[in-house]
Amino acid sequence: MKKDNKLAWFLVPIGVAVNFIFGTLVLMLRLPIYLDCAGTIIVAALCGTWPGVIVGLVSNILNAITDPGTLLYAPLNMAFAVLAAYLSKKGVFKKFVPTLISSLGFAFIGGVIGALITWARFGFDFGSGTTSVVVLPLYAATGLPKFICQIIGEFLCDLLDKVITVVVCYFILKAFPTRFLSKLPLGDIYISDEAKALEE
Amino acid sequence: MDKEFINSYNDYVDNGNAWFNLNPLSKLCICLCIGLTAVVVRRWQYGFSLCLLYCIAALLIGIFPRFIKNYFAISIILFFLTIIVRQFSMKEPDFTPFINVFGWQWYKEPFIAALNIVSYIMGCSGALLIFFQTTEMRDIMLALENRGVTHVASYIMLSSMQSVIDMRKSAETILESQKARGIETDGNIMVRMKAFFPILGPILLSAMSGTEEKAIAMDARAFSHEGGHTYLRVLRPISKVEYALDALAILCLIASIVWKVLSLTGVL
Repeated sequence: MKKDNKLAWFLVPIGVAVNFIFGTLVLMLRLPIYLDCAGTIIVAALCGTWPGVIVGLVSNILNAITDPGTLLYAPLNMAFAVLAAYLSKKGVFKKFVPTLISSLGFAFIGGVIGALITWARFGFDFGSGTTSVVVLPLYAATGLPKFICQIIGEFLCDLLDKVITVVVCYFILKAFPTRFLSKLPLGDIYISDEAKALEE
Repeated sequence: MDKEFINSYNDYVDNGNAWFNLNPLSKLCICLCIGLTAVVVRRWQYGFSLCLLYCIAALLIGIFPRFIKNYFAISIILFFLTIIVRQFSMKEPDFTPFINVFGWQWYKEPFIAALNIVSYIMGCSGALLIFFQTTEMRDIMLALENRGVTHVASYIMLSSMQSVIDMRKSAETILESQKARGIETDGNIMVRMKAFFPILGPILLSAMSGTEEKAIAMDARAFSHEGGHTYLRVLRPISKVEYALDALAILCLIASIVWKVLSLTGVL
């Protein structure tokens, strides 16, 4: 079946909107998570690396309109897309348990790249985001090097968010209609065997 | 046909005042260079002076209320948290006692370090905030397209902005509809979590079905055509004065880098 790659580019704005709306929705429902990269992961999983990377970049550019500092964290969102596309090609998001485990990878990226960016932004010392609630007591209690504390803090704060994000993405990918999946570059991966047999 | 109406699309975009009417790319160059000087210098005296300058500029441009509200919102938590975090993270025995806050001794060196960091972040953010608040995204993308960037980039950027607005409206509608159907959106965290999925489904599926229709509609309007495109907006060409302003801003940035290098090597 011929793949309509143009459709992948038309999905990019939807991915960006999902990043924003999920963030708004968790605020409306007062849930203690961000879910601000679900759109990036979904688009990367269905359309491949580049559309996913663009979703990440555009989301951060649009966020920068009200808070220019978020532009610095664009590489983070783009790295999520690269990992999501890679895992999608390996079929990780087809099964629940591997999907759940993949959250460790996303949290690791969030922890390491996030810590590197925060570290550089705040003059090679602790950042002053919400992670400082974890980082400062960790530093005081363990006496580990500051940078290691920053990485561990960001990783722990990110882990819960990423577990919920990948679970949400898993169910969304499962709910996509076959008719739509068949037109997307990586959509075949998510078409069930029954649907494929029916087509043949 | 009304000629005045037709000609209104051939005139240069007029946004009201001289700053607004600058070409988006020269405006970006000026704001970015000025903002980066704060990153290079990293002194609170300079950073906070820039913040004051931005406020005066916002007042003159006519965006002060919007600018100050946004600037205050992104700076206030950053300001206090950084100062507090630095008091915890920087600890040396020879630090100079500074003030005592309800029995908690603050030291001067971490305080100054925090001010330097906050001031450079605010110095850089302020410039970009002025840029974004005085430039429409469609003008930025048009200026980029004039420089050879593909029209797909413009579509992605502008459509993303519109999608966010549309999807937010549809999220609110669906949230209200699900509430009306009896789904609990208030209560403990598990109840609110359960409400999350029935809202997500309809939002996403309606957006996805719209995508395919949009793709067909755009193709019917020659979106994929490789030839030249026409525009409903015409940007003013970059004037000599704008080039001079850009050059001045770049010079400021170079001067700040030179100053930093000299001060780091101990010459100054």
